[in-house]
Amino acid sequence: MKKTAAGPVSRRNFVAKGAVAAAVAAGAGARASQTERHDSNIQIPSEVPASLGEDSRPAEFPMTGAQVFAKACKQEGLAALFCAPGNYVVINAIASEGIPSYGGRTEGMMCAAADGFARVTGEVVAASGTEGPGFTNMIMNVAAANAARSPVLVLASNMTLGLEDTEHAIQRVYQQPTTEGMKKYGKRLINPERVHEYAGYAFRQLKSGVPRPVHLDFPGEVARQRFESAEELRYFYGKSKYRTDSRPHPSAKKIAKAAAMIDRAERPIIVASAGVFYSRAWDALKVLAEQGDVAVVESGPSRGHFADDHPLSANTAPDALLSADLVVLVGQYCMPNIGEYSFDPDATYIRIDPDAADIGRNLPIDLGIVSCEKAALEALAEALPERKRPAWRDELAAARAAFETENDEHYRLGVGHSEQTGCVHPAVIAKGIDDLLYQGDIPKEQTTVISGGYGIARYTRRRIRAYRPGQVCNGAYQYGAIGPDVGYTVGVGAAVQQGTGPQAPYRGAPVLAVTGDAGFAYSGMEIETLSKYRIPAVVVVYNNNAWGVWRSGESGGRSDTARAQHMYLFQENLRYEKIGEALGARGEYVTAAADFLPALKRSYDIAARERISTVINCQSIKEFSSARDYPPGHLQKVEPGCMAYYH
Amino acid sequence: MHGLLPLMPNPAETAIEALLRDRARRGVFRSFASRRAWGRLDCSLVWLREQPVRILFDARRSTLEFRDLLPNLDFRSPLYRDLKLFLKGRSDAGLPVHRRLDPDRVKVRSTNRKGSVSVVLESVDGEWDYLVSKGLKLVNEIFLGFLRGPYYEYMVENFQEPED
Repeated sequence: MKKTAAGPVSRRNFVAKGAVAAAVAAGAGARASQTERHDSNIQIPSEVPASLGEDSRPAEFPMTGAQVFAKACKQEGLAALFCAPGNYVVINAIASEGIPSYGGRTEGMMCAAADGFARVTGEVVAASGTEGPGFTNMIMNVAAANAARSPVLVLASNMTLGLEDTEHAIQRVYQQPTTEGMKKYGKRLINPERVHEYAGYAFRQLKSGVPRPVHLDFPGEVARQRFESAEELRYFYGKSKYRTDSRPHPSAKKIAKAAAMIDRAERPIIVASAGVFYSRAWDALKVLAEQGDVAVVESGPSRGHFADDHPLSANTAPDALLSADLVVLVGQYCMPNIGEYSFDPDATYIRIDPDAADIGRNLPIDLGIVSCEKAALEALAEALPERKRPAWRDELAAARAAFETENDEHYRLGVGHSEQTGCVHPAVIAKGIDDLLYQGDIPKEQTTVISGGYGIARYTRRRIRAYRPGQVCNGAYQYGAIGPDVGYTVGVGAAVQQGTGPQAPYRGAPVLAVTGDAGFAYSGMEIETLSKYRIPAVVVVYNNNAWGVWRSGESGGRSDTARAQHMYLFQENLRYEKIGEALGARGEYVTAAADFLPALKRSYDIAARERISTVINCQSIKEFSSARDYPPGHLQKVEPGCMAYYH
Repeated sequence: MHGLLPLMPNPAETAIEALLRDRARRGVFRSFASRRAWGRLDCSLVWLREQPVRILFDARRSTLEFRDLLPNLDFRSPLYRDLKLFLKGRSDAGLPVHRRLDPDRVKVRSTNRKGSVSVVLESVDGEWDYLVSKGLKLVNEIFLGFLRGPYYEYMVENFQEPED
């Protein structure tokens, strides 16, 4: 064990050093580990808790360009930074300002962590990487954040302006065209004196309208420029001078018309999407729904802004969606096309969105309202007469019950398939998560879940519940990336450890992630980041020995394919839990259905008690996706609601 | 005069065409074209999964046919068997009125020609609005409800259901 001035540092006494632990993650209930692993000498270096325990050191003039920018970020309330080293002067300046900062193993997954953090907090968050390879490593997750409409500030260094085009030294790339089509705003900073002004450009975009990533790249001349005083900066105003917090409010006429349409409808439904979350309109939504007995179904990159157990929730009532005669889309930034949402062809549509230019895209509307979602919902609640729709409530309840009956039937079949094969069926995993998180001693609102994976997700999404805002991070939302799940887990776990935004009441609780064996390969190294920062997570890996789409290459299958199947398969019975163990977490290998729930409970308890993460490797087989051999096989989905991830 | 009859719009055809065209105007369909041929109203449109849909209305038989709606469906396949049960179940008295096909007003059946399945609704009471509305709701529910069941492979192979 490594000796330091403060004594030996192990994962055990790292937590015991209370002040340091609080600085790391402020984990409620953290205490010294009762167990210590004897089969490795994995240690958290003393510098980690030591540096996390240092006081912040806000910069004062004279400042570098990086420090000016970092100070602007602090004043804007940037909630966190996730990075891999590179862009050194900028990330160091941000950390020094006291903004919670996390260093992980790849820039790509740190960008995913930032996206996950935003999805469950609604706060602006930054990701950073070095010029060239670090920056390009982030691209998949910049695109995923863009598809999810996440307010992620993407930062990257960019060598020097003075030597551009020369290939002098290494890592030169012109960044901005690379993020074209996957950002709201981007700028290569070229004028050091305008660095504060461009912080203003960035936050104006990040904190208004429909959020999406903003990409700034910092050439050395800008980041390292030294300013003796504010006078040397061309613009150096406080945020109240360069942006406004005011939001567009709806026209009274349009609200009156919308209220009349809702009142006339027999079975109205609100689709509450990302904009409801980002405008923190969940209370207004509940008031409106209850005022008029309006059903609510969620969509978007996070869930929980309308509780699944509310009598008006249609999140787990897919069959009732087809009965709605009026659909009110609120903050549905990623718009479905006709036939993608399960609504009646004769339903009428109202769309409420802050961006007038998007209203009417993909889905024709009967009424469009340009407004901040919260303002519109509050105005609608004022204008809408009280009305009871008992038949509609009954239909919702019946549809929810039918959905649960279907889930139970899947579980019954899954148990049988598990016994027959000696492997863990995905329906067993879904039921186990349900039992632990929502049916037992754990308060059902407590655990924030990263709902990822591919084939497994078709089962688990049906059982993962949301009872409060930001409780579910919808992993593969819209962009369809299955790989970043452990990256999202770092960000979501950090948000819960910090107690940021709607995560505040659950500060310190473990998070639970679901992923697959294919997805785990992209981001599994970030188990090390979870372990280093003592972010307690239970990561469930569905291991079916194959890519979820393995049947696409099946010999003699869909398109009479030959010589292709090998491209879709992995070696069987791989031990992903040992990767977890090798990276400072625990491992559990589950090969029988009956062992899953006990392993899950054990892992959760240790995460809660000792802030140690666990990788649970659930051994399964790819053939479970066959409806013919193992019904119901690969499940389809209905959107919107708990199964949705396209929109 | 008999030879000119096909050129003269039948009032029922006119009504049906207007009802469908109204949906196209509202954006329910992506496009809409109609013609009269072989004594029937023949409409083509793009709907749901961006696939072309053909709707035939036969005024003499009072039938609205969604022609060749589902391809490659063997007569003896479980999916076709399930589809017939699903169609039958749409008239179940336990369904809410807005989801139910009233058998006193409309009858529904499927036909299977060499694996190509059409869905036919026959109006009993000559209420064309009811016929069109229920026909569209039924087809909508076939795609957004029934086919979301354990038919993933069929959807991938025949309707380009994304595999990701």
